[in-house]
Amino acid sequence: MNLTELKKNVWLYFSKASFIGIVVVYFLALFLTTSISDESTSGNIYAISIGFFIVITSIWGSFSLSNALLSELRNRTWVYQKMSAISALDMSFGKLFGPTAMHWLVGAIFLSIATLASFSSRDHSLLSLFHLFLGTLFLHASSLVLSLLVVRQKQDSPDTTNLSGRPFLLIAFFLILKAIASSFKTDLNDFTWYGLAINSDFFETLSLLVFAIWAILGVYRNMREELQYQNLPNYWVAFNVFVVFYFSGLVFKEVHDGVYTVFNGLFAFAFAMHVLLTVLTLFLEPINFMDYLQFFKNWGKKSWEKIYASMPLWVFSLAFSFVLCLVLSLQMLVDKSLNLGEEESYSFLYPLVAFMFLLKSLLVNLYLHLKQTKKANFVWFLYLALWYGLLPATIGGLFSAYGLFLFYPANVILSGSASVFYVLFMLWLIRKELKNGEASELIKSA
Amino acid sequence: MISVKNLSHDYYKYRALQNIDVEFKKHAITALVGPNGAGKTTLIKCMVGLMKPTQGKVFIDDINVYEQPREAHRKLAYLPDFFGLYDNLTVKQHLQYAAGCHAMDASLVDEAIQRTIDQIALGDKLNEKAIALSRGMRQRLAIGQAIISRPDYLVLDEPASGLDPEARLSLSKLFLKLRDDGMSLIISSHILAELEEYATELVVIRDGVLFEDKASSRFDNVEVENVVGLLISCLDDTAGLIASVKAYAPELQLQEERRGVRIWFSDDKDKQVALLRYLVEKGHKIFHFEAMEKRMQDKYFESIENK
Repeated sequence: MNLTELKKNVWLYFSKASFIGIVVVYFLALFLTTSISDESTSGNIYAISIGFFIVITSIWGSFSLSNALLSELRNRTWVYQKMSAISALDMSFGKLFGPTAMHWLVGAIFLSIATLASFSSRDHSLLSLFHLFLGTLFLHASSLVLSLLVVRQKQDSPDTTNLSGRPFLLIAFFLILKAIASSFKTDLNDFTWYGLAINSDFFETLSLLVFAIWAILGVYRNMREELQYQNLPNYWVAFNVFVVFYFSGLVFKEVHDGVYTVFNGLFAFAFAMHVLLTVLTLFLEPINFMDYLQFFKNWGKKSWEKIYASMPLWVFSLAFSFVLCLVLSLQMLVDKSLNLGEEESYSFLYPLVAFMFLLKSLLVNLYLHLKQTKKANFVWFLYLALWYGLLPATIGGLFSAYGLFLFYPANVILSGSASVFYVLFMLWLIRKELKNGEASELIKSA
Repeated sequence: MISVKNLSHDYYKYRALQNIDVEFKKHAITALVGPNGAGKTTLIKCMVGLMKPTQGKVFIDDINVYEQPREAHRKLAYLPDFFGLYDNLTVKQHLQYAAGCHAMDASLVDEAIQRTIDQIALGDKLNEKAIALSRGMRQRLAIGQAIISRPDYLVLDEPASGLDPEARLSLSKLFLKLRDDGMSLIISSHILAELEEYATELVVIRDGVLFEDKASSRFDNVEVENVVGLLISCLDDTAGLIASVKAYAPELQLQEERRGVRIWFSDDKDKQVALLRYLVEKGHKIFHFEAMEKRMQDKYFESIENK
């Protein structure tokens, strides 16, 4: 194994002074809390150790990791690495654990002491510590994937000064996911997954393990892309299949007057996750119309292998979303208990309307990029916030809830008609831009 | 040899390179010349495999850069116009890292570092951090990182921009030393004077198109060796001088200048003496006769005019 990248990052980011400082502060905190507090000593030691681990290893580690990669781009050292002979695996390992070596080392001290404390306390289990370790690994790997995508987007404009806040978004997203996950518990301690009641601690830890593995595979896959290996989108397709499998098994709980009603949405959660994945990949992947042109050329030549290789990742997720929305519609047509809304006879079309809204939003993004809008993704983000948040809230609050069908799939027939109009309108705008805009003749002819 | 075959590259709004066919010779220092925005950097990025062109292929010896980029990078090193170093690493750590990046055998690393340090003349700065180095030294260190694995080809984009004259001179010497060690260099610049010192071949690019060499009827480089410009000034009529020169050798290219007539002539001294004797015998009152090496700048403008 070539540890060059790991070694370089340790040279750059391992600070002995910080290491000693953190350890001293930690032991000082332990000493003060245990000597002042009247509560159980082991409980305090456990809580402080976990707190330090979350702040230093999980959160600060994510920042350091992301910042280390982005500074390669900022300081223009990334090109050299792209042309190096270090393998994608060695580079991933070096980037994942090099800038966080100090964080993991102090984290090991915190976890070791928390483990010792957990032996004398019945409230704390080793599984929770393992859970924390996996969560941190997942967070670090996801942060690195996010940073690698930023590096790909910003390859030619090394201004990444405004990107340092992205891991914050990731941490917020992670916490929201954790909160959502609790909605899937069918009673206080269990998840139901494909009819199996599974202990929530065990299920969450297993889920984290699997998602941490996916995130690490994501790092590896993106690193391969950066290091110019021939890279087929197999990982992404496999991940999409996994998402269908994982989320289709979950059962949602509803509480009415203290009674749980189990709602088995089957493909509904998987569809929702794919909508999210499509939006995220379109937001995060670089949009290059010359690559799209290549894709259409391959399409023209019916060169299936090349079509597969050159297909943007968001198209895969969109295709999965489409298939899932069809399956879900069929499922709702057959099983009337799943139907939402008032017009029962049409409500099976609801997923299709949602898909059309998704399509419209994607077309808005492509149009913004075609227009070469400055900070197109940021403008798109604002548009999404306005269209799906602020505008419907304002109109619904000030005027009438009837107008909401214009903004999101609130009514199958009205929203469905509106969404078809939006999609056609966006396609017309894109066609017009391609015909009269500033795109080169090559793109226009395509 | 690096062969670029029918290479075109399009950006969203315009075509940056158009049907480029060119070969970069081995053991030469080729200057890639053109004005700002000519497409030099795009061509270089396509050549080194950092950018995939819309069409065309690039071969480094027999390796297709787009099919086997990592194999190609073993033979080729590239230093971009804006390169970076790790400010908090020492010169030695930079070179150790570079050796590791090229998966060099551990037993060879020390020897490679010593050899590279000698080449880039930074022996006395081995334990200095990069942040403490001057711009010229940083440039040499970056080149050191690129050459530590002894690549066959070194591609540099605007390497001397921002350097003071002393640093430029030291860089020129380094390039010649590398060429003598068997490396082939491709150096892009829009400052022709800087290339005069070391370039042996010239490739001219403008508006994404290479200029055609009429002799070989293909896009090719223009040789700059074995040609001199003779600047002849006389007290009498310049038109008469031109007529005499044409009578002496009708195939000669000449150009009237403010100070006299410039003739593109052989660098053979005996032939130059014979020409001077002929003109004096013809009665021209010559007071200035100077053999000036044909400058790269002349070649550059000549190739543009010939298009």
